[in-house]
Amino acid sequence: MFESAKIVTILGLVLSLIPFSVASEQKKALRFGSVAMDIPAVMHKRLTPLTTYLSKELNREVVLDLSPNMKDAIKKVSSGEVDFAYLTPVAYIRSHEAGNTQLIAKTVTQNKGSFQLMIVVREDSDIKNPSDLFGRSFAFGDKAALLQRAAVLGAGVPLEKLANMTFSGITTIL
Amino acid sequence: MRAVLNKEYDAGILKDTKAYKWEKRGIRIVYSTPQLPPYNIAARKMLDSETVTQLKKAFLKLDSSNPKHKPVIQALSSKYSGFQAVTNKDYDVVRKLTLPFTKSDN
Repeated sequence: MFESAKIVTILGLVLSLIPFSVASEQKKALRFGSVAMDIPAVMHKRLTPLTTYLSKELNREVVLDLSPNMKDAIKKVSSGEVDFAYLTPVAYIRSHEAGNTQLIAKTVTQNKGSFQLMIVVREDSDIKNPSDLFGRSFAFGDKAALLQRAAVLGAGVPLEKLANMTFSGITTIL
Repeated sequence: MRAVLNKEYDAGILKDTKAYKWEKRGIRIVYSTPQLPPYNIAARKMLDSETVTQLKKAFLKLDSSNPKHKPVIQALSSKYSGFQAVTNKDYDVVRKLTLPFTKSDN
């Protein structure tokens, strides 16, 4: 009888703390992470208006927590170090694999919610289709842009079949 | 893209918007991927549902035709026009494409 009363008391205490802990979490500043696509100062400038907007809309402080690279950004959102993050498509799927992250929204570019990657050649090139790329040289953007390499492989061109490749480092990371 | 135009490299890869722009300047498209889902906003698994709902509402409300919202959206990218709802399944096409690559290839 005494034991049952003790259990009921403890349970009551635990239950009474739940609303308090939920409320205190909601009052904490939200941490907004991002994969680095620019130098930190530029990235900060790009994300500050959005951070200010979200603070007003949610009536809650939102602070930026920028990552120096994609690996760090994935780790922070999948482990819960940041509450939400601006991610590349590949960074999202990696964070979902690692920590079951949940999507909030996708970006829309020029009124379109999707995009394509395109393999291009000079207008006068003898390359007519992807199979003609075997033994030819290829220019990629940033080395971190895994999706670009995946797209070339998806076009039926194993990367080792290219004569050589370069990474300009200037293309948007995808 | 200049490396291809200048004959330093035989081919290159670009996002559609840039490819169409360069198409009028001596570039030809030989392959296009399927439609791919873009950059996104994702939250940690345990973020409470009320905050998740508030975040979704705030992002989906952003409208580039609203003069107050336009600078918020375009500070992130001058080509962005807003945000849309999205599902995990929408990213299956990216999962399929990147399957041959390991996590360390990121």
